[in-house]
Amino acid sequence: MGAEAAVGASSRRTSTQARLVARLLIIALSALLLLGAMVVALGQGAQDIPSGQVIDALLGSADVKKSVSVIVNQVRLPRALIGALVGLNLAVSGTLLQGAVRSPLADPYILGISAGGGLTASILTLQGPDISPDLIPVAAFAGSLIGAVIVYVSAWDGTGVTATRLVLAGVAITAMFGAMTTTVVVLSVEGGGQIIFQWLVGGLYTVGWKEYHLIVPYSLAGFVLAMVLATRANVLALGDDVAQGLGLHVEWTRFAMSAVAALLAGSSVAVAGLIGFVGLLVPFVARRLVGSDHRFLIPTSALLGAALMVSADTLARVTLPRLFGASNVEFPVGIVTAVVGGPLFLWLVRARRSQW
Amino acid sequence: MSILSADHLTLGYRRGAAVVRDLVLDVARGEIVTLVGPNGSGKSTILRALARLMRPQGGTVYLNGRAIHRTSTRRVAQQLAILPQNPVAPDDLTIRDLVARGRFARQAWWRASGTHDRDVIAWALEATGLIDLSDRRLNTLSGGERQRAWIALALAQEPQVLLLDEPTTFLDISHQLEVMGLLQKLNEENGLSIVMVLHDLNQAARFSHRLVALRRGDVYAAGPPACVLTETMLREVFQVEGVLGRDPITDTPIFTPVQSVRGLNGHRNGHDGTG
Repeated sequence: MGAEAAVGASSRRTSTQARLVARLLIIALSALLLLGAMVVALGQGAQDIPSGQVIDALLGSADVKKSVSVIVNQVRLPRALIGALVGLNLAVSGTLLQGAVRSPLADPYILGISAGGGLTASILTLQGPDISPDLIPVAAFAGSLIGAVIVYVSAWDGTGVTATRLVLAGVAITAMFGAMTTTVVVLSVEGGGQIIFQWLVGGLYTVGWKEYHLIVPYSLAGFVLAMVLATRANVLALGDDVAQGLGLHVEWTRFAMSAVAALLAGSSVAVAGLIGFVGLLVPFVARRLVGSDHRFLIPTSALLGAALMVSADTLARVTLPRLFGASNVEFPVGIVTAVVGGPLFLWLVRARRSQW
Repeated sequence: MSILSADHLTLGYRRGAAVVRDLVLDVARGEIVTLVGPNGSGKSTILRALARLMRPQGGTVYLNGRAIHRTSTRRVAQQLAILPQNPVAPDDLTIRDLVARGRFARQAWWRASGTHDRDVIAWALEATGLIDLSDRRLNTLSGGERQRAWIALALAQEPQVLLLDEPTTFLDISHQLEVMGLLQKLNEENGLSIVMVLHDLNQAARFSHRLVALRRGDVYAAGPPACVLTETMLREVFQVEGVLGRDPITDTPIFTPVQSVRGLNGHRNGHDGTG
């Protein structure tokens, strides 16, 4: 009996440990994937640079031609880093919101973040064709957060915010703001309409180190806060009543998760415009890979989101030039994520097991 | 001193009429108290208020002598656990994952599980007979096993009082007995106080020290099962005509329903609200 119990205990420990090892392995592989995507992103483009030269350029070696060094360090590196952070932000934001409303169908934009950002940025362009490009990110960030606040307040019923009310308020506000944005864009066709249209589709054409410094504090703080909230998110996953019975302040937790998600998604909207599907697709894939435990789900989503975004942006940069030889035309990355992400998501949904 | 008490509670939902009026209820340490009543009589509402899941419109709930709404969610969770009617969990959780989350109120957020946490989790799994199933996913369990897993989650809180809303409703008869037997054992061996809502009157009579019969938000009768479970009560509270007997095993009252008398005596008391 004693021996049997000991064997039982050790096999239990083994299976728990095996699961832990598998999850850590997936996180490590996701990190490798991101690294690979970065290497490709730095080498590929209008001018292909061999990876040896890329590394030399990154290390600031004197053997590298000045033009190569500029392309790698001033153009491709900031763009790849921003792509990674935008992907991280959207994926972690999606993970948090899906946890907050307990639905895999919530994406970062459900809180009115895209709608608010889109509206304020497009209103800017009404001022005419001479708008300063520096103003767009600021306006978009402010608009994103305002959108999130309006949705949250609309869902508030005096005592709290339920998941269902939050989603419904998000859908309604997004539709309203979307209609207003379209109206503004139509009115401003003569003025800044072209600029705003490109921005609405989402892209990383013009980003440099300045935008990197804009987004990096939000990504770092957002990721750390998300990890701090992970245990609470796990308790919240058991339902409001059970969670409260277990000692969780449910209202506060849902608010904190939404607020961190809004900061992450809002800062991403500010530098990259409206990029769809990443916040929906990546958490879904990550949940399939490591399960619903947020302590593993959040880092996996972060790394996969970053890797996906960097790869999609590389694809956006090189596809048109490779196909048509037009060197300065590129797809907006938002179109790539939608075209690749949409069918992939459909396939995953059809193939999924009973996860959630 | 009673462990949990309701002092002139008035409960209701926003803008609606009060569901429960002026309720007075005391639960003694180590007692099993069961709320019975027809649908809409306010049983679940009372349970939610006792667990601090809803704020009363009037009156106070006391937990170990302290007003429960002046106590933090966390402090309440260290003394009281509640198992709602239809709990759901992400289905990739194993039993052990689920039960480990019961330690939430007793862990600082920056600290990982310690030895004591592991001991309590092991005890909760042992007490519910789940130790050999602890790596199984929730979605592979039978209804009875799953209910035991949720009870183990509540036990991991190390509560003094456990509230359960219809813990046997979706189970077949053998799983019902399994769950009721487990609750009885926890009460006898660990001194756990239990307040629950049950639909099965015979089970309520057999496993409870005290029954509280509710009719439209008022306490119709409260006391030992033999005093509460009477033919008059059944007619006036449940609108059922029936025959009372004695359980040959436990000598508790046992009730055989014969026919519904709903509408015959002027009461209109039916599916008019939450359970």
